Amino acid sequence: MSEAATRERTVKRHWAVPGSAHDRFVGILKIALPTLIGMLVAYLALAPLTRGEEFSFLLDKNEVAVAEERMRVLSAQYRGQDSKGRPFVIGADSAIQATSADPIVDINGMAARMLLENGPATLTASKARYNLEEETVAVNGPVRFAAADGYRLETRDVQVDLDTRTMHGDNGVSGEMPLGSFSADTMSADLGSRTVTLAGRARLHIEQGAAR
Amino acid sequence: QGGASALGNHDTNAPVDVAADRIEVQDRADRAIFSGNVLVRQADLTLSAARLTVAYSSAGGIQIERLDASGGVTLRSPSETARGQFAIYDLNARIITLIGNVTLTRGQSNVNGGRLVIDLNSGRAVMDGSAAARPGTSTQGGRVTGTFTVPQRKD
Repeated sequence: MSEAATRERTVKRHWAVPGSAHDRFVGILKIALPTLIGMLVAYLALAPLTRGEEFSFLLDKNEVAVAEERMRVLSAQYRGQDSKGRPFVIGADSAIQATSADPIVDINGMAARMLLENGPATLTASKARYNLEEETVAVNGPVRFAAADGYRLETRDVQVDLDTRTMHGDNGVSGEMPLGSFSADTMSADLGSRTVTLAGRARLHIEQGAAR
Repeated sequence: QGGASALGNHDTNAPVDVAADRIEVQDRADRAIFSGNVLVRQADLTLSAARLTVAYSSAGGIQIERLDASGGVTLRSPSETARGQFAIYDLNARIITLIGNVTLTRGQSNVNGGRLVIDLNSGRAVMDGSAAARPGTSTQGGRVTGTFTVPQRKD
């Protein structure tokens, strides 16, 4: 064998001689590595139990901010159709629905617009309660019905059925219509055909206008 | 006290107040129907009846054209009382017509007949026998009867 080869082989042999640096190194590792693995496994096994503070919370229903009313809407609009399919829109400055269970909406500043045979008409009231299901409006206080051609009907504390376009008042009504000012125990008005029926101590005061 | 009625130059433009058990106003037909002890008051004329129909025009403001009262009508004015079955108060012609065994009572005297026409301009009340209201037709045997009391002459 050549001299180089033999020299190389002797170097390798020195490396492999028991007690050489490499040999000691491997011996150390032989012990260090397994203990390291053991410690790691032990840590992973015990870690979750030893953790001290528990990060969790309990939602307290009383302290959560609860809104008093179910739904408060500013300048709301409710749309619907009457029995003949003609649209109506109820605009409101503010509308409050107490709970979704009862379909009553308390409206302040109501302006309803509806389409009648001869054109649009508006129904304005300061305070009203709109029943979403029956599409009826219970007005407390004054209400004014005005049609496009100048027909006016003003009264107070009545129920308006937007489905049939009728208005009823049954514990004392008073108000104004084109023919004059009226008062009676009960009133029922058909806004479409513009007939007003007063019953029970009905009074009508007619002021004649045009010069004869 | 002249023969003329106090209804002479009665203001047919004065406001009219109507009270009834039931009022139905049909704005489209410019008509109002009153039923159940109807009481109409205009200035010093009052009319009471069972049923009343008011026809008006609403072009330039409300203008009552005509009142038709039926079912036993009583017309009262400061100077007389007239009763009949029907009454037609024509505000444009300013004439009140009562038909159907009409009695007119003025002071102590009263007159019966078929038809009474009161002219609101002159205050003249004309009673005639023909019950038919339509001019030009005359029914037979309409009689006018009356009883008059003459105030005692103090001389």
